[in-house]
Amino acid sequence: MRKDIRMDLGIRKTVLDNGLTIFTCPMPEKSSAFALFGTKFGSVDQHFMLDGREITVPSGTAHFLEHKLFENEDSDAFKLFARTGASSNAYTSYDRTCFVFQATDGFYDSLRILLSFVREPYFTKETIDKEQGIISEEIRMYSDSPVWQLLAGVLGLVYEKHPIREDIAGTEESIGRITPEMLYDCYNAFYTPDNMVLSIAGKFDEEKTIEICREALSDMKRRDSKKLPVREGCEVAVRSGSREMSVAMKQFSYAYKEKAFPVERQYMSELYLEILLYIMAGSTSRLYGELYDDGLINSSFGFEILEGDDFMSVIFSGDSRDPEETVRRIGKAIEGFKRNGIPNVRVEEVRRLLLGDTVCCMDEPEAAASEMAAAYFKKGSVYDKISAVCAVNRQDLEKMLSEHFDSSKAALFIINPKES
Amino acid sequence: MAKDRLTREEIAPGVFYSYIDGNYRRNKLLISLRTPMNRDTVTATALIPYLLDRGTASVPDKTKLKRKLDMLYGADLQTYSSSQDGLRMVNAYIAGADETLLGAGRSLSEKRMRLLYEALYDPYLMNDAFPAKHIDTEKEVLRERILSEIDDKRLFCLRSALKLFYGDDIRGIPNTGYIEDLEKLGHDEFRSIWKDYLENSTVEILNVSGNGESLKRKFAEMYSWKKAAPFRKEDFGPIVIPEVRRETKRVDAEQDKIIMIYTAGRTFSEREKAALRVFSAVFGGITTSRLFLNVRERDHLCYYCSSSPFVASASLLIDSGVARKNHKKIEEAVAEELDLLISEGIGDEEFMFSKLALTNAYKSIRDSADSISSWYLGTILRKGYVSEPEEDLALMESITKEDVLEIASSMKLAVVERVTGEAENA
Repeated sequence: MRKDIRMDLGIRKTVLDNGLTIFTCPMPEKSSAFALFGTKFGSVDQHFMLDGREITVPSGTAHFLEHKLFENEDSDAFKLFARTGASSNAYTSYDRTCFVFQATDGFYDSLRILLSFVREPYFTKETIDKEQGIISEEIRMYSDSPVWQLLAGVLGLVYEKHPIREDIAGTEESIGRITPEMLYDCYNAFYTPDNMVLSIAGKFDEEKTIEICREALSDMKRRDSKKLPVREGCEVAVRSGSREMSVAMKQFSYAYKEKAFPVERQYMSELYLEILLYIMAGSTSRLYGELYDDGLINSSFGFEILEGDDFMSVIFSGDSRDPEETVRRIGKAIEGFKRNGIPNVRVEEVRRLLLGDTVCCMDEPEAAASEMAAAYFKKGSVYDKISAVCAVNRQDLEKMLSEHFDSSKAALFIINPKES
Repeated sequence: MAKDRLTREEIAPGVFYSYIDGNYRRNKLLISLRTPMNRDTVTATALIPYLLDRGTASVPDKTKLKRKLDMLYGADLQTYSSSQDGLRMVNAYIAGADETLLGAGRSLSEKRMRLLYEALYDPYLMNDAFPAKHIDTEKEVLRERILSEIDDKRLFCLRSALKLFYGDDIRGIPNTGYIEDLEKLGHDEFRSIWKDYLENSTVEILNVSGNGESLKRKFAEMYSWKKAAPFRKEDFGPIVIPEVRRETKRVDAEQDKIIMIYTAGRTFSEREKAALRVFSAVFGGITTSRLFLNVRERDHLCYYCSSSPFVASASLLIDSGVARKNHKKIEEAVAEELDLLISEGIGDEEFMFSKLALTNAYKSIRDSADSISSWYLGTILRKGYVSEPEEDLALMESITKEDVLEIASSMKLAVVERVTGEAENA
């Protein structure tokens, strides 16, 4: 690490005997604390082995399980948290499920509640039937969102059979096939200590908190489970597609299909790819400035890396009057960087930006806990990030650039305004 | 008692400087300019922040300006317009990591401060005016933004409901302005509105960092040119709606979005506003509220149905996303829940849960530079003076069930806005 960066952010990592990892970052100056208990189990994990059995579940099962864990036989978690005043929530993404709370008073009681309800699954046919109506409405809500439909649209083009092409919440038909047995199988396979992380930041006593975690979690057992990879080819399934929605102007999503990074290098590799993207297409890039001034994009333009253990895409998206021309220019800019290399000055700018961002992120309990957990899910840590940012160099970035962004493996999806 | 109370003083005519020396890893410096809302200039003032983002006198290029910010350890410089209670604001802030953690020296915050001031008062100009090409580009960007309000159906429904609620009242003027005004706005007229705004606006500076006193002196020097005394904020009367206003907007959508606004039709005291916040929490603001437990969880009428207090207008806003077939039922269900709450009273548990949730929210306000600066700016604009989160918390804690029931009983349905994918003759 460079000598002029004095960043002891106070992060501590504890691993329980059963393999469960706990990150803590005390911030005594704050009034609240934020805790996240997450598992590396998301919507793409539909095919796995558990105790020698091969199991397949319908799309939307991880999200359904997240909803159902919020209630057990006697009570629901929202009500338990209400007694402490904590604000609680949960979410499911393509590759993880997380349960969170934020509390000022009653932090330790809230923590006990979090650690308890996630460990007490209770599923019956009746409670599942009840949830299907609510989740069906959630699916409809997302079907009206252009942002989600853009992502779903382009992933549907890029992937032929990988479950990432399916909605996180599934479909009304797929969630209708979920049974209590499936939920228990998923729970037993993935809500295990070696597949989960607990991340806590804010105002709390570190020793007392670790002690509560030990008491509550030490009896968690590992299971003989394994995700089964999806055999997906390198080529994109379809190069272009479109649909109509009630939107004011055209919106586009352009995705490069990439090979996933090896699991043990995911965090660092993704960080470098992000730096590369920022230099080439971020708000400080020449590409961005020219597209903006030519009226081809507005501030909605952006990019993201969507990566899991066996899939990766780099996606550019936003509003555009002329998506085809925008995409042509993105490709041209990338080719230009491949030919001419990356200026050193841009590397230094991004290095400083990321150092500043990391400090800022560690100022808020929620952001800090989320950052620590996100790093864990990609086999890294916040300190790894700082070290990597300090060490980033032009040569590494250029090497990465040469291995990515093959325009023959990209697809364009457009949402056109529907005539009223 | 507050850990860190805000210090606010007038450092030049119409220029107020406040700082809080909190212990933050992310610091924030915000300058908010305000004038009374004006229908004729709202579109021009909506455009101003877009032009300010194009560069400054010393860095006359948008891309280079952003790169300079990156070199200042990712300083985040944002300009935006806002409106509240009949006031029109043009705001700019710069935020970034605490310099002591970065080992970057004390000069970083002063560099950020000068860049912020320059962005507002010394932007990139040609012949004392914004370049014509920039104005035309940004007018188009703003036009697209106004048109794109239809993209997010929930927000579109909310904006439509507020328009219906306020009618011609000045408080209902949209923050983004009007497309028809944008098309007519000439370059000279825009320049004149912008100059006038700079001269006559009242300035509110909020500094959440570790060097409040030294920046105060520097700001006092920088604003020595300012002559305009602060203007007096107008007191607006209540919004009175004798008959329920209804509107249906048809779009391509799978799920209906319905916004209902209940209002008391009178102005609330500070205590009544606190009671409205508790009422909202009990009724639909949290996951143990009536609307969440009964309308969503028990009756399965919707994916979401929640309430939020709309204190400036003594109103309660109900926001729901429902299956098309249930759109009439949701309105009936909300009305029924309100009747039941008034007739049966409030249970001890739900009252306690609501107060605990609000307490948690108030106590968290100081945890980030963003939330504490929004809090202070909000209270200064709303009340005209500084109010600490702990004072509002104490007032909320003193609210009784009777206070809440009195507020609930005063609420009458005023607006029902529906955005639907249903065909006209269905």
